[in-house]
Formats: sequence, C-alpha cells, structure tokens
Amino acid sequence: MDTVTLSFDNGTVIIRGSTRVPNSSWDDRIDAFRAQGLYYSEIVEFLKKSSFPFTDNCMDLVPCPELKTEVKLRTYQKSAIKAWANAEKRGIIVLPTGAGKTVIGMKAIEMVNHASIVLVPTLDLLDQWKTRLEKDFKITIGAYGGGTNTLEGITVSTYDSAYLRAGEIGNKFNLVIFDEVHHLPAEGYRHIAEMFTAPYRLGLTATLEREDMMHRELPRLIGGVVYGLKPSDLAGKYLSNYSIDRINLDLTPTEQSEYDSNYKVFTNYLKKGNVRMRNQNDYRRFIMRTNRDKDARTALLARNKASEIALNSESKILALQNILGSRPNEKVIIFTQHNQLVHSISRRYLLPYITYHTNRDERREILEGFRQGRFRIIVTSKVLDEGIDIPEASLGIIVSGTGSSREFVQRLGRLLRKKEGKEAELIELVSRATMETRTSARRKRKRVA
Amino acid sequence: MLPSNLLRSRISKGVIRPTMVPIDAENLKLAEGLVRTFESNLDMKKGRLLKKIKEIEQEIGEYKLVRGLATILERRCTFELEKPLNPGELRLRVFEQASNQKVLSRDARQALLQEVGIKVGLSPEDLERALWSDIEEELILRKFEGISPDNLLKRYNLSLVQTLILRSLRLSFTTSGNWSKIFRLIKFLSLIYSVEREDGQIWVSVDGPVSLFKMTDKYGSSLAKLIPSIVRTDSWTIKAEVMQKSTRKTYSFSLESETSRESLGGELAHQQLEFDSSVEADFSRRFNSYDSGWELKREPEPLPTGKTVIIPDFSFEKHGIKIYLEIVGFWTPDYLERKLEKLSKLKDVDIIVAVDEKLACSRVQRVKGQVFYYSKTVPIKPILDHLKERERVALQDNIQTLSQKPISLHGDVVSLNEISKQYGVDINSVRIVTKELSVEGYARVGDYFISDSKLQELRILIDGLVEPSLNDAIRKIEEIGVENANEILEKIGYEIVWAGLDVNKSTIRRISVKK
Repeated sequence: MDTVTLSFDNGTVIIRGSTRVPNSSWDDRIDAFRAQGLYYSEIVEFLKKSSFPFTDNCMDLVPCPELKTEVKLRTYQKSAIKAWANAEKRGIIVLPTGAGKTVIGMKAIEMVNHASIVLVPTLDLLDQWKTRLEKDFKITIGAYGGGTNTLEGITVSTYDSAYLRAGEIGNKFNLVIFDEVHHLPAEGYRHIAEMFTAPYRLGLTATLEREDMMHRELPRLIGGVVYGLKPSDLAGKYLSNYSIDRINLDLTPTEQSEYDSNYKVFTNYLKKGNVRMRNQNDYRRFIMRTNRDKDARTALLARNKASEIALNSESKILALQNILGSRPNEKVIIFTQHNQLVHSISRRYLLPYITYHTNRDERREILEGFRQGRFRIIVTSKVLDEGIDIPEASLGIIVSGTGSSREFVQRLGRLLRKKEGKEAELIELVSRATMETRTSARRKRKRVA
Repeated sequence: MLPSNLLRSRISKGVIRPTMVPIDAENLKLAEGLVRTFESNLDMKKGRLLKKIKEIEQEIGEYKLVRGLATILERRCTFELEKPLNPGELRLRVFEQASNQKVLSRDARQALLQEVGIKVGLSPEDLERALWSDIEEELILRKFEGISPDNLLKRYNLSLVQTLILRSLRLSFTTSGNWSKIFRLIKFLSLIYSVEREDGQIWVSVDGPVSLFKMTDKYGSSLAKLIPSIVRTDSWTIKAEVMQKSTRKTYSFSLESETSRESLGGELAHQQLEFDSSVEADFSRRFNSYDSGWELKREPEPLPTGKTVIIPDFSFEKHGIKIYLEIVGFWTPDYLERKLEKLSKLKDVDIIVAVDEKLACSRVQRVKGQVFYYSKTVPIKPILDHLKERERVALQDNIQTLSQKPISLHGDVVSLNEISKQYGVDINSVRIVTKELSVEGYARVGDYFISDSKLQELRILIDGLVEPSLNDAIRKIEEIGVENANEILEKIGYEIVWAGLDVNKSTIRRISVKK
C-alpha cells in the first residue's frame, strides 16, 4: 500500500495516496482527494486509528515561544475554560459583555501554548486585543488588518483579512479564537472556519442568536456551546446594574409637517401600487423595484427624508442638551446611527466623535482619552457596537437606532463595566408618532436582560 | 470594478447580461458632461462636486449609470485638505478644552474657539473651518486625471462585466493570445484551472480549491481580475455561472469579442509583448537576425499536458511545419521538476527543449523532444540546424509521398496549391517535385499547370486584339484564373514593349511562333 500524504492547498487539504478518508472528495482537476481545511484533524484522527502509514505535510505552524501569563480567572471564567478544555478544546463560550472574554481567550492560548490567531470584527477590537496580549504575554503580537500584515506566534486579524488570506495562513495556527463569533456564520466568513486547519477552536460572544438563524452552522464550524451565562447571572456581583429610561419627544411643528408630507409620499406609493411591507423580503423587493421604477425611487427617497427629519429632530438635540447640562460630572457616550448626526452634535457641543471614517490613530487617542478622563463625553456612530472596553461610562444616550436586538444588547453592554457603587443608566431619545417609535418598540421586546 | 449596488444587469430565461452602455451620441454626451463636471470642480470642495453629480443623477434618471460613471471618475481624482493643517490634532485640542468647560451655549462655544484659536494662531472662524476640513465633503479636488468620454464608457462597460463576475462561481474562456500572462495570473490568484480542447480551441475553466465542496463566489473577485487580460486579445469568449446572493439562484453568463468588442475595446489595444526573461528576449532578437525563412512566434498557444498545460516560449513555422521551443532556465528544483513532468506528458508535439546546462541531469532524459543544453545564451546554430534537418526530412517525406502516387491533372488550369492540398504536402515540396516534371498535354507556368489547348485558346484570343496593350492582355490571362501573365505571354510568343514606367501605356508584340 502506498503511503498517504497530506498537504495544504489554499484552505483545503490534499490527500494523495490510495486511501479514501472521511469528508474528502475526488478532485478531478488534480487527480487527488481533497477536503476542507476544517476536517484536517478528523482526517488525521482517522488515519491514526486505521494505522495507515501517512506523511503529514499539512500544518506549517508559525514558530512560537513559550506562552505564559499571570492572568487570574474569576470562578465562572475558570468553569468556562474548563468546559471548553473538556470538549477537546472546541466550542463556544457565551458571556455578557464586560464579563472578561479577553481573559478567557488568553487562558485558552496559554493552554494550547502554540501558534494562535484571534479573529475580531473591527479594527478597534484588533487594537484592543493586540495591546492586551502584548502586555500579558510580553511578546510581539502579529496583526492582519487595517494596513498591517505581520505574522507572529500570536496574531490578531480582522474577519475580513482572515477571509482574504485564509488560503495563505490557514495552516499556520493550532488555535483559532473567534471573538464576537456570531459574525462567523455569514456566508463569506464561514469560509474562514472551513479553510483553517486549526484543530482547536474557541468562539466567544455575548449574544449567539442571529436573526437569520445561521448560528445553527456554528457547531459544525467550531463546536457547540460549552458554557453560557446571561447578564442577569452576573449583574450586581461582577457587572454593574443598569436602568433604562425612554424619553418620547414630539417633533417641532415644522418638522412634523415636513415629516408627514414626506411620509405620505411613501405610504401613498404603497397604497397605489398595492405594495405590502410585512417583512424583510417585502422590503428587499421594494428596494429592487426602485432600480427601475421612478415612483418607487421617489417614494424611497421621501421615506429616507422623513426618517432623517425624525432622527435629526431639533427637539432631540435640545433634550440631549438638557441631559448633558444636568449631568456635569458623568462620563457619557452618545450613540447615533448616522454620521451626519454625529457630526452635527460634535460641532455644536465640541465633542470628540468617532465614525467609520475616523482614522485608527485618532480613534485610539479618543478612546484612550476617554478612558483617562481627558474627554468626558464622546459621540459615535455604530463603530463602538462591539466589545470595545470603555470602562466607567455611566451614562449612555441613544439618539437613534436601527432596531436589531443584538445591536441594542451590545450597546447596552458597553455601559455595563462595573464601577463601585455605580448603576449604569441608558437613556433613549425617541421621536413620538414616527416610524422610529416602532423600531424602538421592536428592540425592547427582544431585550435579553 | 463597481460597488455591487451599482451593477446594472438583466435576467431572462436563466441568462444574466450586464446592461452595457452603447457608445452612442446620447451616452457620449452624458459622459462628457460628467467629465466636465469633474474638471470644472477643480480646486473646489468635494461636497460641491457630489451635489452636482446628484443633480445630473436626478436629471438623467438612471442613477445607477450616473453613479457608476462618477465612481470611475472619482478614482481618477486626488482630494486634499484645504490647508496643510492637521485637523485631527486641532480637534483633539479643542475637544479636550471643551471637556473641562460646559459648552452648551453658543457664547460658550465661541469663547472656547477664541481661546484655543489664540493658542494655535488662528482666528475662531479659521479654526472652525480647519477643524472639520478632513470630512469628505470639505476636501478639495486638487487633481483630476482626464479621460475621453468614449474611453469612460468603455471603462464603465468593462467594470460592469467585472462587477457581474464578482458573483460568479466559475468561469471558462477561450482566447487568441496573451496565454502566458493569463495563466500566470490564474496561478498568482491561487485559482485552479482545467483545460479542454474543443473544435481545435483551448477552453480553460477556472475556479478555486474550495469550489469542489460548495457553490461559492469566494473566487469571484479573483475571477473578475482575469477579465481585462482576456478581453485584451483579438478574439475571445467568456462564459460564467453567476449567483444572485439573495436568492442563491444561478444564471449563465456569456460574452464574446465578436459582439462586445466595440463596447469594451478600443483603448484596450494590444499590449507589448513581454518576455519572461532576458534569455528569451535575447533569443528572439538573435534568431530574427538570421532571416531563416522560419516564422518565429512568441507564446503560440497552450499545449495540454494531462491536467495542465504548457505554453511553449516560441514556435517556428515554415511550409506548414510547426516546431515548438521551450527554454528551461535555472530556477528552483521544484520548478524544474514540474516543468520536466509536464514536458514528459506532451503528446504528438514536435518540441525542442533548451535546458540550462547547470540543470543537466538524468531527469531531463524523460523529456520528449529534442533536448539542447545551453549556458548563458541559447545558441541559434544548433536550433537552425535542427530546423533545417526537420525541413529536409519533411521535404523528403513529401517528395516520397508525391512520387509514390503519380500526379494526374484534371482541367485546363491546375495550381500547385491544389496539388499540395490534394496530397497533403506543403506547396514547396510540390514545387520541387514538379520542377522537372513534364506532363503530357500540359505546360508548367509559374505555380500552375496549363493545358496546351487552353494556351492555344489564349494565343488566338490575344492574336485577335488590335493594337494590344499590356493591360488588355493581362486581363485576358487573369480571366482564366492565372496570375503569372508575363510568363504566359512569353510562353505564347509575345514580348512586352515597356513605355517608360507607365504600365498603362505598355503594349505587347509578337516575337515568333513557338510550337
């Protein structure tokens, strides 16, 4: 019997030799069996069990020093990492934001003690992980994303960079940590888990549920949920409690009439064309229609205009001003979804802002300044949605939102950093009698904690 | 490539087509208007430019088209800050100051700007302007690389095709050239190809490793990058399977040079031939200086070698003989191994392999074809000798073929060309074999056999001409399908009386009667 040889080819394992292994397919283009990188460890397991002689040229691990940290784990963190280790170092840990997922990730790296990669959805998180890992492991950390491409024993990468480079670096790590793992099942990102050959995998998230139910893919890609806690399990002891206030505001009379007339253009179009808007699909169909139907496009633009009026309402700005005036000493984050509103608030009150366009250095400096107290208030659009550590922000103000439950929970989570004797507070400013009220109601219904 | 939301395409009966813009007056006008809008906004704020584009968009109605064209033009722009200040730094200064004071009223705001302004040497107004000068709308359009409206539309169409291919699961194509560049690109992009010969055409199908397991458009962006190199050739066809993301339905796509050259081509004229190495460039130059009669062609076409292909560096062609040359330079052992493996799989191909003598080893013996060693430069002489030998052997074979079957002629005029086709040998061999050949009832004139009766008929015809001009005579001769008028005239006993250099005034004159 000829020896079986395993080699890595752009996110897949090529199996040469006369043996068929599980999860592989015959590739006529190269006259050999091929399998997705994901199945590498299963294939090796199979070959070992069947005592086939085989040569394994698949892995090409990044050289890596001894990995050791001084990190101390809380009780629930210990249980979490133990559960993961018992599941053959595969699986997902669900913990609320602020419960120390980074620490758990570092413990996992220490356990595997070899080449590891951490995948994150944003550049902010990349910076944050990198800084933390450098500090605790005291080694140079590699990074893929935001213009840097360096490979080290521990490397942090954005999902986007990992997606583009999975074929190239997929066999270089023993452990992959998927931070904010609920991003992974998206059609494109799924490739990452499939193309990496790493036998050990850890998923971290605060909210596993995706509205499109894609999370059912996760057990195959990473492993099942091995440990999970809800925010209420930790509130009080490890996380600060929080309260939510909602302030309904009327549009100014001018705004209201402008809003009404625009919104009417939209509803009239729906009525006239007998177009129904029951769900996402209806909406998508409507958007498709705007490509060729001039009336549909006019209706869409009018609807956008109406929502813009509601979001940018002067009464909201005034309410915001009142809140800011009455809380002169609190650390505040103002969230809004639209860059335009971020800019106008920033200009009016001379507040540091962060949007998608803010460059990395400035963003870092603003966050650092906020942490140190150099800035007391920051205003931002979506970019801070996930996982960024902003300690001691005791007040959050949402000036606009989209209505996805995950987004809401995670924004909340941002404020949940424990501070002695402090109860975090979230204030939501909503325009009354606009479609935004419905968005907000939808959000509330799905709230977890 | 364009953002996917600007793709314009039509679907019908399972086929997807990009909605390319015809290069017509109306669209040229639109393109010209857009180019002018960019030009006229030089040294102005980007916000103004964007507003103008929006106006054109509303006026034209086809917002996707206008935005697509504008996207291409925007990539030719350089935007800069209005003043060489660092707005980020200024902002943080102002924000930090503001963080210590309450800036909730206009007065407080103005006072703060004044205060910081003094520190940085700017008036409050200038400071305010500088603070936000790096926001997109505030940037200044400093440079714009112009483009003709015609080329803009073509560029747009190409981008449209590429944008569509972004969603493709796999792609197959055939083309008339540029092979080596395309295959290099395929490799560089980590794609996988397979080749098939269909009606003498090489069809290449391209996808990626993971395509084996699932329908994926992961390679779409790589496949799209192949498009420009393919459509730059004279003749090509591209086929693809395109997936619509929202529905996950697939549609077929095809495009060919015949019908879309005008919408895509023009500016994309032929590229300069690039050589892989100086060894090849040098060889080409030296070979052509010999005037051997062999036509040297660079990267002729891919030759299938099992699952892969090899694109020989050169081919030599003469009298229907085609011989390839592959130059194997010093590279990595891996490269050599792969190359030799491929060369050993070639079938029915006449190939010369020139191997760097540093690589001389027993493994080279597997290679089919004639192997030469060279050091530094590939010598011309042995190759010419080899070609000459091939030519001689081919000639010998042909002569043998011809002489085994006696040549029989039918009709009044038989060209050597017809004979060469009839016997499947090249015309040169026919010339040589028939040089001394005399066929009963026929005369040999140039590359033709002409029956005696036809010649007689011609002579009577020309005899009958009154004051025959040369032109009249030529016309009569060409009517029977023969080009060598001078030789025929001589054969039937005429000579040409040249009237200076003017052919039209030249006449013919009888010299004697030949039987």
